Amino acid sequence: MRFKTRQLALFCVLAAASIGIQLTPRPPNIESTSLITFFVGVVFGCPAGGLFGTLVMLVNGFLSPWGFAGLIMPFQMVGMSLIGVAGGIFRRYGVTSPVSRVALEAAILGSFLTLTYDIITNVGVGLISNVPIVFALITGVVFSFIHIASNTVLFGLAFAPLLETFKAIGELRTVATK
Amino acid sequence: MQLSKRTLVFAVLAYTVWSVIATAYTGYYYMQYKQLEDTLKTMQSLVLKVNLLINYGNGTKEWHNATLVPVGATVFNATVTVAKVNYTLWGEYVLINAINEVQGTQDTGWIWWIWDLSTSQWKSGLEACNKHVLVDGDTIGWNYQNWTSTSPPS
Repeated sequence: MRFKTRQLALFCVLAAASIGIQLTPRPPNIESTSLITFFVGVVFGCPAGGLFGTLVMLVNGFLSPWGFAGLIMPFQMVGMSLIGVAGGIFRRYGVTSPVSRVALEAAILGSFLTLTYDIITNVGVGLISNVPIVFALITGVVFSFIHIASNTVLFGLAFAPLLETFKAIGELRTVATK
Repeated sequence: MQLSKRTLVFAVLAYTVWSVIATAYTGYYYMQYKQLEDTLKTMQSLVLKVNLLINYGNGTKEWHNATLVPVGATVFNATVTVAKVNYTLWGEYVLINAINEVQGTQDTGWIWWIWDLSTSQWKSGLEACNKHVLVDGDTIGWNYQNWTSTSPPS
């Protein structure tokens, strides 16, 4: 994973934007970090996407408006890095479909990846709190539903325009030609 | 119509999300149901269900079936929960003057009865209405009648 200066600058800008939004007080489980992490994976590939997710959740773990994440932080980092890696995989299979199709696929991936993230973090809660994992998953379902629904909408509405913008500024040539 | 592999993959992902969330929600509501059921059981051990008849003596009768009253409630407590009651305290005993604004007179007044399950007959209340503690399933009848009459609520 070697960055050109321009790519590194873009990576840092996206990291700053993601952390800035993540640390802004907001309703619980409504966030844009997943989308940005996924998008970084699409633009820069699996390793960068994974690293991005890990980094953002590490900072979030200490500075979140909801307080210090504590022992749940490693699970959040793993969950978010998986979203970044998934972005890289999505890129590998090509993102050349019509915009509406890309939006639909992004929405479905957004919901699936958010579900995966929530399962990972709920398993973490279960292990840390010493409660049955199924119980932790079930009791967290309302928050998970909000998280999944908001991310489905966000991925569906914002991913395709982001992609088009990055194509326009010349950062997605490799993706477009896949 | 042939589905492409890519479409199929995304359909499976969407179906997975839906099925996991639906299953988790089912579990969530089942847990809520069990919690409420336990709460209800606890509450049921603290309340009684009693039936109350108010017979106005002019052909008008009011039944208040399955009235919920707390454990330890008396006939008076149960009556107050279903009707507007005017009463006088005689020491520690309650004398009912009026129920739902039907006032007793020198000749007529409110007398309470209790349904005896063993004989299937009304029995006259032998004590002040605030002294008879109810048990679950009791049937109480308030009869507006002549003080000298011994006829129970019909």
